[in-house]
Amino acid sequence: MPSEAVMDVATDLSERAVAALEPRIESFRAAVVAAEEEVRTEVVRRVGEESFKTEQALIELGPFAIGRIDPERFASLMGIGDTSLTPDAIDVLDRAERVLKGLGSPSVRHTVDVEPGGDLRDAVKAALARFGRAFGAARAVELARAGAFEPGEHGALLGALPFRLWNRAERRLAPPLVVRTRGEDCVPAGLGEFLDGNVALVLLPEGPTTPAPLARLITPGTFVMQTADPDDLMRLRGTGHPAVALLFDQDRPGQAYFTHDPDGGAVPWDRLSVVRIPSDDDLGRGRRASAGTEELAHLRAMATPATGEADPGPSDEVESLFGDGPDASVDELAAWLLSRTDLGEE
Amino acid sequence: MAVKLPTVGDRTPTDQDVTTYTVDDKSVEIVSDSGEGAQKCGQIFGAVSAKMGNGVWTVEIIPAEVEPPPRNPAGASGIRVRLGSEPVTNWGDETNLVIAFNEQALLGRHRLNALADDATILIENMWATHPDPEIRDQWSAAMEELSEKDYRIVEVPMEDACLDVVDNPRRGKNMFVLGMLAWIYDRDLELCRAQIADAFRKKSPEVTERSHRLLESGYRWAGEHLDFRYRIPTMESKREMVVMNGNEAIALGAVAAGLELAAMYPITPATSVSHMLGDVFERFGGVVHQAEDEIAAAGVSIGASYSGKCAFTITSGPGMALKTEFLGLAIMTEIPLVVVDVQRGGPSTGLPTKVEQSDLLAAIFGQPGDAPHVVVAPATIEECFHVMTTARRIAEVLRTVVIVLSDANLATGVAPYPRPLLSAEWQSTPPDQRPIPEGQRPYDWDPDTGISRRFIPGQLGGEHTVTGLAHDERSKVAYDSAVNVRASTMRSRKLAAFQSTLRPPPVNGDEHGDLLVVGWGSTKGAIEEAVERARREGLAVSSLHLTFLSPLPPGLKEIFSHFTKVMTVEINYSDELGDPFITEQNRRRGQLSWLLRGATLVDVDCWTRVLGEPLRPGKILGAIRDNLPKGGSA
Repeated sequence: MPSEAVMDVATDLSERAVAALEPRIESFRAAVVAAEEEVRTEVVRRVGEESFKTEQALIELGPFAIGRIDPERFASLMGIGDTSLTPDAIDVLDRAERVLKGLGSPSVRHTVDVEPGGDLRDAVKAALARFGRAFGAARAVELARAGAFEPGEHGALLGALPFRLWNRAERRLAPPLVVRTRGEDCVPAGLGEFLDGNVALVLLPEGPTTPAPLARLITPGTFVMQTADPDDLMRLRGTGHPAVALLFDQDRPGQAYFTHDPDGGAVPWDRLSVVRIPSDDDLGRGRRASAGTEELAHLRAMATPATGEADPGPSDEVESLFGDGPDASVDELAAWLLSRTDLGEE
Repeated sequence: MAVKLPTVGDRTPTDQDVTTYTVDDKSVEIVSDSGEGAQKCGQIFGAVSAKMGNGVWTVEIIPAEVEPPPRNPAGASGIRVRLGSEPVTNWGDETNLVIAFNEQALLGRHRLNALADDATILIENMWATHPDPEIRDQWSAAMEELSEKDYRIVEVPMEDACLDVVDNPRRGKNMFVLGMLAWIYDRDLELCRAQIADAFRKKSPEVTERSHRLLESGYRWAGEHLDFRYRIPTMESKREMVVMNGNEAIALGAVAAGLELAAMYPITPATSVSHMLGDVFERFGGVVHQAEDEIAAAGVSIGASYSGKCAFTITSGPGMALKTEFLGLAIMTEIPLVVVDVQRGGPSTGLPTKVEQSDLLAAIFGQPGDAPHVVVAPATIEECFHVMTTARRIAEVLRTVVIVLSDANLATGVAPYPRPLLSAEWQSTPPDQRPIPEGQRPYDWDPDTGISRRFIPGQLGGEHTVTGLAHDERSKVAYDSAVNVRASTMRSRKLAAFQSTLRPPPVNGDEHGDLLVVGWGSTKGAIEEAVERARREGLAVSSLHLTFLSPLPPGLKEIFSHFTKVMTVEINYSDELGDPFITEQNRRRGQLSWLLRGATLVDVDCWTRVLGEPLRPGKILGAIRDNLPKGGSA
């Protein structure tokens, strides 16, 4: 059993990690809440009365039509030939709304605990799939609205949706996770498959780990950080890249501290800022010593400028791989409009 | 030669030397050779002014040629920025202040009567002492010509001043000028710096840093040498504002409307819509497709729309001509489509960079055969944004083509407007893709409205062949007369059904009077300003601005009947009575005038100009005075 003091440290680090991820959490939550509101409106509209059709016409025609088009008359032209929602489709909307409402709640925790001896990758995979229910529900709603929802084919959308099935837009909205694990179970190499879109993972190992467990996750477009300073996690707010960070519970001589920022440059040694690489003498002699040696060798290699002509690499291409995807929310458009026209924030 | 030199000269003016004029309305033009950045300077100045709370309207002065020869009056490139203490809706009349990079560009504007008789001119004076004697002679001749007017000319050593900061003054003189303007109009330098940084955000930091130093240099120079400043009171806006031009507004409006594909082929002045979309569309699930030509662009957008997406194509007049056959296909097959036509001048390649409203009749009647569809014209930059949502929804509900008629004035004009309060529901309900009930056919026209359900490829039970040939309800080719009459009636009926949803347009001013001025599109601001001035003179004049041009809104004949005379004001060609051969019978009229005469049987007159520039309110006011019916209140 960990001591009370150790528990306090873990709780504090966990809270600070969640705080660093708050903008991403809020972004995910806002999207889910917006989707839930849209579903609720849709249910009311499709099973509602004529007055709702008029209101809907008014909204769908936009401000340009105000004073120019009579929404009530226009509503009478809408949906001619369409059939109304079937009870099955309404049921799908209801179920989807419940899923979205649950996941949009402020009480939803973005913290995951890996069972002692458990698999870090499996825990993250399961947590993301649980959050993926929001995306599955949104897809089910679209299918039901279009009358294309087939229970046999699409029923699974109302359950957990594995990360591998998320599309680009969904990955851009990915919920961040804080993952607590024992140090000896902190083997994150398998997390690479999740580092896409806007995914952000903060690992909180309790106890010693290998010196640079995240070194294997460094790729040109991924923000990767190891640190023992919780304040460093705020850097996660400034990156637009998929990110993984490891926050050590205390400073130990055998731990490497570094940051790999994709915006830092075109070559690895420009992107990689190393605060400390332990010497081999600092390494323990446990069963994973060779893994640690390998991690450090990899880190050193990337931090060392190549001699001769450097190839700057296709930085634009890397960026485009992680560019914004389809189906971004209207909130995102509003934010973009503000940034583009830059009057709003003045 | 009546050239006036700086009154303060080389010494630093004291507070007593500087006169600050408080005005409600002021126009400034920055003119140069093409490529010297005058427009960028004006855009930044306009944006800063809008942020500070002034009404702003900018109009780019674009030479007809891409790269005209330097120092040529016909090649003047630049921008006019009109500032006001109230919202500004048009570019105004003559400009009061000009900053010219050379005397030839200035001459170009002088000869177009763009300058007020007492305008103040700040001009680069390096040409007066240029080593080339021919250039020195040109300078002298220009000064002589300019002395016909009572201009106040202030020589500015821009080149010398910029050399203190940069090696190549050609790349930065515009920022020096921005600095001068910032001093003259008391603009916030921090805002200027921020706007510069935003404008050059895609360039290296050195460009921004150099521009900041030039800005400060220009500001300092103006403070040390000029003896006048202007103060334009600002407004307090309760809503957040955004600043953009009409093409940017169309692009962002398309995004907000949930349009999913924009197919285009580059054409002035429409291309920048696709540039904007190229920057942002993919982030929102959209695709910009640059096709191999205009025809293909129309085909791609129709194909995308046929497959259930919501597509649009962007072009200008010559492109509209090329798309004509495909637009007929979309109308015949009842595939929803939004077409944006950013009008430019002239037939054929005409005046690519100049404004005209000459596509109206072609947009409405340009397709061979009977091809009923909707034509709508935004009048302001804000409307350019919002029209896209409305156009999309109309196209989808009616299953037809909606043409949005913008023009070069809106395309490049920049003005602030309230930040749109976006709604996810503008993006509209997806097409109904449930299996087609047995017996339902792809053209089961509702007998009252002509509207039928939209089938999407792949929909169970919806298999059918799409054809541009005459077809029956099953989409089977059918040449018999009964089917053709029925199909033609139903396609037309949709427009009548839609017209029944339109409201009569409001009259600006009294609903009875001597003269009603009718306009459409980008002339709204200038017409309403002219009418307001006429009404202040006691004239019984009102105006009406049409947004929907096909179908026309109801009630026009009734409205017209309350005025002694009705006259359209348009930027397109009409014959002048009194010109050789021109009679009341053979006179070719303004395009809206033709349309209204046919629709209302009212004798609608017209006053039109094709000057290649937006209409000036003062000129419209003159036309109002000249066209008041005899016995009116004039």
